[in-house]
Amino acid sequence: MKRFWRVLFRRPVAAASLVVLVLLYGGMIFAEVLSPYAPTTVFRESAYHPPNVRLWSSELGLRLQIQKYALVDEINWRYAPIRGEYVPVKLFVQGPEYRMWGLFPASVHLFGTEEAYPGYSADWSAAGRTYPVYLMGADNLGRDLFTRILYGSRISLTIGFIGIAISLTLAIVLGGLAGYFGGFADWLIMRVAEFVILIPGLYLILFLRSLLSRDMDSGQSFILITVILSFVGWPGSARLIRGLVHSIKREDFVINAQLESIPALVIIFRHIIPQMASILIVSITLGIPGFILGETVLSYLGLGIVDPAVSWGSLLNREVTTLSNLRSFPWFLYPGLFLLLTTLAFNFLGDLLRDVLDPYYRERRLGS
Amino acid sequence: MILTVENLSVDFATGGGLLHAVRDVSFTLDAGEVVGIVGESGSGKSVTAQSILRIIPANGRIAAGDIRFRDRSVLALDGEELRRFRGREVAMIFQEPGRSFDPIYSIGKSLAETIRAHQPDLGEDEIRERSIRLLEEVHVTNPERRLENFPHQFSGGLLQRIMIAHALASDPTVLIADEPTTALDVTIQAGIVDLLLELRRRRNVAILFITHNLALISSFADRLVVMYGGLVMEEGRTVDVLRSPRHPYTAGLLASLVPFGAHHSQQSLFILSGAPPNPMAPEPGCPFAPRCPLAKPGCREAIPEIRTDGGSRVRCIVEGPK
Amino acid sequence: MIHFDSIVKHYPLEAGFFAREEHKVFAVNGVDFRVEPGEIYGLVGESGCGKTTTARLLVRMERLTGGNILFRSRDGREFRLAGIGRADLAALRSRVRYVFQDPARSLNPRLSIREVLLSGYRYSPRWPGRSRAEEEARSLIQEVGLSVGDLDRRPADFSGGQRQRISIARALITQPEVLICDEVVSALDVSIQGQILNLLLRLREERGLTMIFIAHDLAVVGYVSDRIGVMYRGVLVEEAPARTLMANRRHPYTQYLFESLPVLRTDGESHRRRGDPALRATFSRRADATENPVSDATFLEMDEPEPGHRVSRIFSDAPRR
Repeated sequence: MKRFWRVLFRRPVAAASLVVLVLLYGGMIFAEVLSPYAPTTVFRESAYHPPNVRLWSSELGLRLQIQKYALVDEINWRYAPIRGEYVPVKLFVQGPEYRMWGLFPASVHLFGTEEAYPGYSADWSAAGRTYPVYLMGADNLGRDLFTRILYGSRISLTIGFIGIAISLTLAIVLGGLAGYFGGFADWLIMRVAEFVILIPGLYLILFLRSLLSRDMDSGQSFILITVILSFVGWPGSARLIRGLVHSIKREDFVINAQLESIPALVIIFRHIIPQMASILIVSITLGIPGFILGETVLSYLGLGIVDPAVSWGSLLNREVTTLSNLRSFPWFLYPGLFLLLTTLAFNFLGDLLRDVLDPYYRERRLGS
Repeated sequence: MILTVENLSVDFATGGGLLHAVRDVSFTLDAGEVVGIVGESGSGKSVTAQSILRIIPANGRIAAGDIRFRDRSVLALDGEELRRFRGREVAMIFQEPGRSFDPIYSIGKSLAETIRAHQPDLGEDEIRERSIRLLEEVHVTNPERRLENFPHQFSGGLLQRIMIAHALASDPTVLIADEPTTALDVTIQAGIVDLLLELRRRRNVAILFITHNLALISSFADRLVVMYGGLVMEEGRTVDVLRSPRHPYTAGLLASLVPFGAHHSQQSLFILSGAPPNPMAPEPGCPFAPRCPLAKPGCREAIPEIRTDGGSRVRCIVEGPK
Repeated sequence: MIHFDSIVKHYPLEAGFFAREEHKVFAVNGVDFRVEPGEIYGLVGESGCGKTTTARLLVRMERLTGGNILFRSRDGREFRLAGIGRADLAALRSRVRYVFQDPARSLNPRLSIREVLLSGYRYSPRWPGRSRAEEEARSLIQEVGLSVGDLDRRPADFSGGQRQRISIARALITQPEVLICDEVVSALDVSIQGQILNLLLRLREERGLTMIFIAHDLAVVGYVSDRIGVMYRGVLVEEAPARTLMANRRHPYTQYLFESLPVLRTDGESHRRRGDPALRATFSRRADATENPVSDATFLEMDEPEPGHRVSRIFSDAPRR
C-alpha cells in the first residue's frame, strides 16, 4: 500500500485518474443531492435550452449566475441570451422531492434557483418549478442533462463492476478447473471458450439481445445486458487464468498441499488463485471500461436501457440522432465526455496497478 | 596489478530504503593470479563481481570507491570504451550456463556472433575455424559436429565449457567466474576447475572465482577474500587463511563444514548459531558480532578497520589466530 | 519398515494417440532395498540418477511403472503403493511426510505460518479439532526452535534456515513415522546447514522417526545417515552402512563419485585431479536417459561381500581397484 502511494505520487496522470474516479463515483452516490432536479423533471417550455450557468466576478468575489435566455426561433428551438438579466444560483435550495438512497425523504438540492419560472410562483413546493439551472443544457423535453448524466452513472458506472464480477467468477471457476485438472475438462472448457471468442462479439450480443423480448423494464434489461456482456467477456480471462493455474500447480507448495490430501477444489481456490491476486486486480481495472462501453453500444443501438431509466449510452442514443441535431445542440455530447473520462481513468489506473503489483517492476533483491 | 578494487561501496534502492550491499571492499588481482571471493548468500560477493563489469541491476549504484584496470578507472569508461573493456579485457561466466544461451541459436551461430563482435573483419571460414579452435581449447569433443547442435542438446557441464569458449573469444586478461560450478554435479565440477587452471597456465589469464564452496576453492586459489555482510572480513594467501584464520567468521565457516567421513554417532557438528545479517536492517558495528564467540562490547559500536595480521588483512579488533 | 520391491519408473517421451511406446526415459530401473524403522537411510547420486523419483514414488507423487513399495506402519497397518486406494493413500501420506529442498517455494507465500501448519492437517485422518490442533502447532513451532509469535507471520518474514524449520514443523504436525528429506540443506548457507542437521537428528531421537535423506553433498549424507544407497542411472549400485561406505567403497561408480568430491585443503598443495582416469572415462560420459541400462535382469542381482554391504554387478565391469 505504501508502495502504491509512492508510485502514484510520481505519476500525475494516474493520480488525476484516481481523483476523477473518486469524483464520478461520489457524484453517482450522491446524485439526488448533487443534481438540481429529478431525471424526469420536465420544463416543456425550455426544450433544447443551452447551458446557462456562468461564472461571474463581482466585487464580492466569484459567484455563479444564470444567464436568462429568450426563445427566438420556435421551430428550430434557438435561444438568445437576454443582456443584463441574471438569476443568482443559490446553494441548498428546495427542489423536487426524493428519497435519499430510497430511504430518507428530502427535497434539498445542492444548487438551484429560487427565482420564479415565468408564469409560476417562486415556491417549488407549490408550483413544482423555479427558473431552471442548466449546467450542461437541456434535452427535447427541457430536462436537465447534468441531472440525467448523474442518474445515468448509476447504471453506467456499476455495470462495469457487476459485469466484471460475473465474467471473472466464470473465468476463475472455468479457467481454474481447466488449468488444474487438464485432460478432458481442459479440452472441453477451452474449446467452448474458443468458440465464444470466435463469434464476432457485437453480433453475438445483438443476437442474444434480440432473442429476448424487447419490452422489459429497466431493471430486467440492466441484468440482461450485464449477463450478456459477461458471457461474451469470460473466455479471454479464462484462458489467462488457465495458463497461470497450469504453471502454478507445478510449484512445490501446491504439490505439498496435494500430499497433505487437501481436496482439489480447496487447492485451486484457496492456494492457487490467491497467488494471482495482482494480475486479477489489474485485469479487473482494465476490464471495467469494456463493460461500460459495451452497455453504451447496446443502449446506443436501442437494445439497452430505455426511458424512463437513463444510462450514458441511452442518453447518447436519445439525443445524438442526427448530425444537424449535434451541430445545433453540441452539449448533447456531454455524456460521451463522461464516458471518455471514465474509460481513460480506469485504463491509467490499471496501468499504475500493473506496475505497482508487477514483481519484475520491483527492485531486485541483493544477490550473492 | 591488473585489477584493483578500492574502497568499493554499492547501494541498492529498495522498497524498504537504501541497502548497502557492498561496503568498503578493496582487493587486487595480479596477472595470471587466481583470487577466490568466498561468502554466503547476501555477503555481497556477486555484486562486487558485477560492479567490476558495471552490470549491477538498475536500482543499484556505485556509491563510493574506484575500480582500476591497468591504471584506468573502469568507472570513467563509457560507450564504446566500456564495451571494449567488457569484451576484450574482462569476461565473465555465470552460474547457470543453460540460461545464458539463446535456445533457438545453434552453438556455432552464437559463437560466431561473439567472435564477429570482437573481430568484425573476419570471413565466414575464418570464424568457423576459430570457433572450432575455441571448442577444442575447452575440450569439447567433435567440435565440427557440435557447432550444429542447439543448447538443449548439451549437458550442464558442456554448456559451461562452451560459455568459457565464448569468454575466451576475445582473449581477455581477466576472467570473472561467478559460481560457475554450483549448478553442476560434483563429478563435473572438477573438470571445469581443471579447465580454468589450464587456461590460466596457457594464456596467463587472471581468474576471479566467486563461490560459497570453501572446499572447492581451497585447492586452487592463490589468495582468498572472505566476505560477510557486504564487508571483506579477511583477505590473504589461501594457505594462511585456511590454516590459521585470523577472523572469527573464517574460523567459524571452516569449522561448520561437515568433515568428510565424520559420522553423527561419533562426532557432533560445530554450530555457528544465529543467522546471516538482514541487509535491510543492519545493526551498527561488525555484522558478525551477534554470532561471534569472541565478540567484545566494542564490536557492536563501530565497524572495525582493516588491519594487517600475520600476512593477512583482517577486519577484526581481536588479535591473533582464531 | 519400507520395502522398495524392484521398483521401476519409466516416463513416456511422447504423448497422444500416435505416441510410440518404446520412446521413454528410464528413470528408475529395478531398485530394491529396505528402510528399517528408526534409521536414516541416505540416498546419493548425481542429478538424474533417480534418487528423487524413488522417494517420490513412496508418496505417490509419481506412479510406479513396475514393482511395488510396501510400507508397514508401526500400528501394523500395511500399505502397498501399486494400486493403492484413495483412503489408504491419505492415511499413508499422513504417516510419510515429504520435506522439499527449497522452503521458499514449498511454503505458500500468502498463508501465515499457522495456516501453513494447519491447512493440511485439517484433512489428515488424525485431525484432532481446531483448538487441540492449535495447541499442537504452538508446541511444535517451539520444538523446531521458533517462537509462538512466529505463527502469525508469513514465510517471507523468515530467513532460509527458519523457513526450513517451518517446513519440518509442517511435516511433523501429522505425527508421521517417516520423513523424506529431499536436499533439505542444499539451498542453505554452510553456517546454517549444521543447525538443520542437528535439528533432524534430535527429532529422530525424540520421535523415533525413520528418514530417507536425499542429498548430493556426500559429506552431509555420510554424516547423518545410518546406511547409504548409491544410485547411478536409475540403478542402486551399492548399499552399505554409512561408516563402512565412507571407509571402503567397492563399486567403481561409488569410488568415482566419492573421489570427485572436493575436500578442504589447508596444505597449500595445488589442485590435482584425484581419482582414476579410467573410471572417469567410463562414467563421465553423459548418460543417455532414453537408453535402458538394464538389458538383462540378472544385472540387478547384488553381491554381498560382507554382511550389510551390497554391490551391484551392473557397470561393475569398469576397472576396479
